[in-house]
Amino acid sequence: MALLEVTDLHTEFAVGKKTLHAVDGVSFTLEQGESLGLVGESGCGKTTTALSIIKLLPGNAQITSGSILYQGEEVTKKTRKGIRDMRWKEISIVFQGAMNALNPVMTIGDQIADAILLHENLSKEAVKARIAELLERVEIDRKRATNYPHEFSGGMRQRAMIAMALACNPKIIIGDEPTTALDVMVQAQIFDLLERLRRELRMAMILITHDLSAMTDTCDKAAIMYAGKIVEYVRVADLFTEAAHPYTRLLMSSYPRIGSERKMIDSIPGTVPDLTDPPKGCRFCDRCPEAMPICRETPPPEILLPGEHRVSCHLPSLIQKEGAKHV
Amino acid sequence: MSNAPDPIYSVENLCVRFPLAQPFSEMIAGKERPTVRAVDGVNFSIRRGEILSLVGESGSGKSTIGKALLRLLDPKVITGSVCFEGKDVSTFSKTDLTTFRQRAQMIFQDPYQALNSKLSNFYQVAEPLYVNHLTKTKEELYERVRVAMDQAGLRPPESYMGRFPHELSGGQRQRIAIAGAMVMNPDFLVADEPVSMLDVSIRADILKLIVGLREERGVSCLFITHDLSLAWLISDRIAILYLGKIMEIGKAEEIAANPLHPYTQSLLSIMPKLELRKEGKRELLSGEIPNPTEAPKGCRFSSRCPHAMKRCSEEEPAMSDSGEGHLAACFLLDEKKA
Amino acid sequence: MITEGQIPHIKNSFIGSFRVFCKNKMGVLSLIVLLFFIFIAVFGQLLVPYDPQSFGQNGIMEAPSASHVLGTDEMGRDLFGALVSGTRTSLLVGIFGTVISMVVGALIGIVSGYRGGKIDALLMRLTDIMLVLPWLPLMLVLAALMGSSIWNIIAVIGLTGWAQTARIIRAQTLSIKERQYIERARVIGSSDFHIIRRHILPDVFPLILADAVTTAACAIDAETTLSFLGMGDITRPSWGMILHYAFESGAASSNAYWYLIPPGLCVLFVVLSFSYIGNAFDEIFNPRLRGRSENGAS
Repeated sequence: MALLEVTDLHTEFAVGKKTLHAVDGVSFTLEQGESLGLVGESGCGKTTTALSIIKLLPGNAQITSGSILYQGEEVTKKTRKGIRDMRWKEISIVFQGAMNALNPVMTIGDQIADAILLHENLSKEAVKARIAELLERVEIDRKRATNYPHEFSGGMRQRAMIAMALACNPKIIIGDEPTTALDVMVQAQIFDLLERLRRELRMAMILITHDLSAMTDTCDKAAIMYAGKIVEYVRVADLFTEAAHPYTRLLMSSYPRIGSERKMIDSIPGTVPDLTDPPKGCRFCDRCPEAMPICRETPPPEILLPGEHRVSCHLPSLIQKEGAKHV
Repeated sequence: MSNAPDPIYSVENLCVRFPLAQPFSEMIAGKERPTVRAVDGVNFSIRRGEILSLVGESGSGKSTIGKALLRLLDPKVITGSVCFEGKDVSTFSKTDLTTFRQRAQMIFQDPYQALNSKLSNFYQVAEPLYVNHLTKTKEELYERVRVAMDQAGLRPPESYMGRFPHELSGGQRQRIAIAGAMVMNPDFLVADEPVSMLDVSIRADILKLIVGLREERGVSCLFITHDLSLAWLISDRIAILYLGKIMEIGKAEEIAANPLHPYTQSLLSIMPKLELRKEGKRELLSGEIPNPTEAPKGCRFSSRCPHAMKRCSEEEPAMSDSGEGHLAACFLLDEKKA
Repeated sequence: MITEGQIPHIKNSFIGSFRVFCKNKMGVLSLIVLLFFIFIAVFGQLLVPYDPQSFGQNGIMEAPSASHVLGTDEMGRDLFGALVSGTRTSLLVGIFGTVISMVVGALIGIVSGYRGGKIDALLMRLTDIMLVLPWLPLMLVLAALMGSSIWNIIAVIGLTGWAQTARIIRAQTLSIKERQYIERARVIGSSDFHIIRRHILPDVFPLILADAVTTAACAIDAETTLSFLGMGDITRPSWGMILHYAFESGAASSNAYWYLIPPGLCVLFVVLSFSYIGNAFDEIFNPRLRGRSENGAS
């Protein structure tokens, strides 16, 4: 049994009189200790997918169908209290720009203590020991628990937020663009830290990012999202050589590869379609250089390729590929 | 560097010191106001038609240098010289400055903040022409705006003119900002992180525009970025900044293929290469860039340098030339040569 | 050389602004209410059958009747007549007093915030002095020195009421000055005047308008106080004066609602319409807010 199993998840937003299909049939599984990167441009449903898992959706959003099984239990059917108990203790999340979400008039230690005491009944000493241990896990001197957020640099504040996410030993940690707005070197440090923590604590991780290049050092598997759907699901090790979906390939070629041949990167023309009225065929067809007439008419089939590799595309070269299976 | 043919800019020993808050008691006692050195003795030149990249983390002083070049800083905080076509920008007369403002332009990081959301896109592009009285008739103004928008890839221009910045996507907004800078046909451009707020899928278009300006009109450019791989992609030369000082400067290919300074080496090693990384190849630095008020003595990189020696925290290394204008400030190079 | 007015698509052309204004229903309604009061202030005297200052021939504290639509006061004066002539005084003081305050306050605030340095320090100390000075004795002294005509009262109110505005405008100017589009405006070679007029003023203007609403109310209030203390222009009754006499004569305890409610409602309507007009102006100056009144939330 997988740790987390998301099947055909649909999450919709009510925008005025219209319905925005932010997540439209997303499925993936996450095993213990595994890390998955959810990648895509802004507005393609990555964050909504993550928020659906811990049911932290805004008031105008709703999970309309699909199932989310956490350790075999259906999350969508849980009561409010059940969800609250699960959040942080089982699945915790580090938000984008989280370092700015610290309370400026409370010490770092007190804020971590709050996170622990919300879920566990511990003595003062036990909490203190836990805080020291957590800070050391994220490579912050334990003495600095008495510091206030403004005495920390941006990177250290983000580390403190990670410590807070680890406070109750969750089995899954979700990072929603955890390094945006940080410097490149600090970004690399944070990814390094997350990667190390994941190995040491045998945690599973979902890393949400718009930056394909950022996750390649950290994740085992990549789910490329476009307009509310996962268009390609592939092992990161295969990503560089086996990327099959035109969107993934275009995305890959929009990064410069320093050290190799110097040639201009590509851009992807056009914009993400309006999700209140998505195209009836493939959602990427308007921007796809290889679009065929069929792409406009019918949604693409999901093709299973060898090595847990799934692609949703009409391209004949994929459908006829050796070992390919239709779903 | 100074003997390079006909530089459009030459910067010598540029220092920028920003005043810090001072306790009232010290102010009364007449103590000198403490300052922080955002830029601390920087030398470089930009040749005509060249794209020079300034690469550094936040707090390295890269944006401050860009502003100093465009004379946007209070002259009181600057020492050293910034010469535009051989003339120090601080000595510009009012008329000099008017011409200078038309010839040297800037593109900002966040196109949303750099455009006044209360004004139409047409006005954003037309404003430079209007404030400098560069067009005589309404028709001429309209035509120049139309051409500038078209060149910036906003097609058809008419469909964008009457709308407002908030009605456009991030990439389109940055194009408006570029059209606004290009409408005066400048010779020089400071591009301060022009793509860092944009989706990856459209970065290339903006970069192509900047490179295209150089190719077609010979516009020189100072490209400010934190991303070494972008700098490598579009520029002729790269200068690596750390805490207000240039650590290494040289041809883009040279920097990427043969980095001399430990900081550059580390920056280079953490760049995603979109290929399977061999274990342990990344040279992560520990800690973060110190606050400029607490810059270490000697070499300012010494506190984080994996190869730091005793000498590094005592004296400051000078720039040493390794041939073909590839310079770096590190004692390790002296040892290699010796 | 071309003028800015010739640049097409510039948003706040008069007709364009008027269209935006017309989309705001509360704004239009408020404008109608305000225009109605202005109409009353100008032509109201023609509607009143009695001389507001004459008393004696009517009963005192009469409830509304056919001959006295709003009843009479404790001296037998016709209250409808008093209310109508009070409209003129209150609006005059409210509008002109506010205009003077706003012009002085905005000018000092913008110059202070934009320029900074010594000019800022000097102007702000002056503002602080104006803020801490007890305004009532100051107004009394000034009014006594200048004489108690209505125009002097307006000048006194205007010249004592700007300090708060100057503070608010300076703070806003300081924050706008740091925005990146101001830097861009400088890069393209704009003059200080152009930057202030095109980039700073439109941003502080909604604030000036919002502040003008409270200042207008304060001005009307200040006029009442001055009148009550004998420094007012007693030849011109105002709403404040009517209210004041109403309290004096115990209208509240004797259930003389006709004495209290009409002037109270007048003040309320005028102040509210000022405020809604302010909101409508905000939409003209800030295109992002447009349509929020139609869609609810967006």
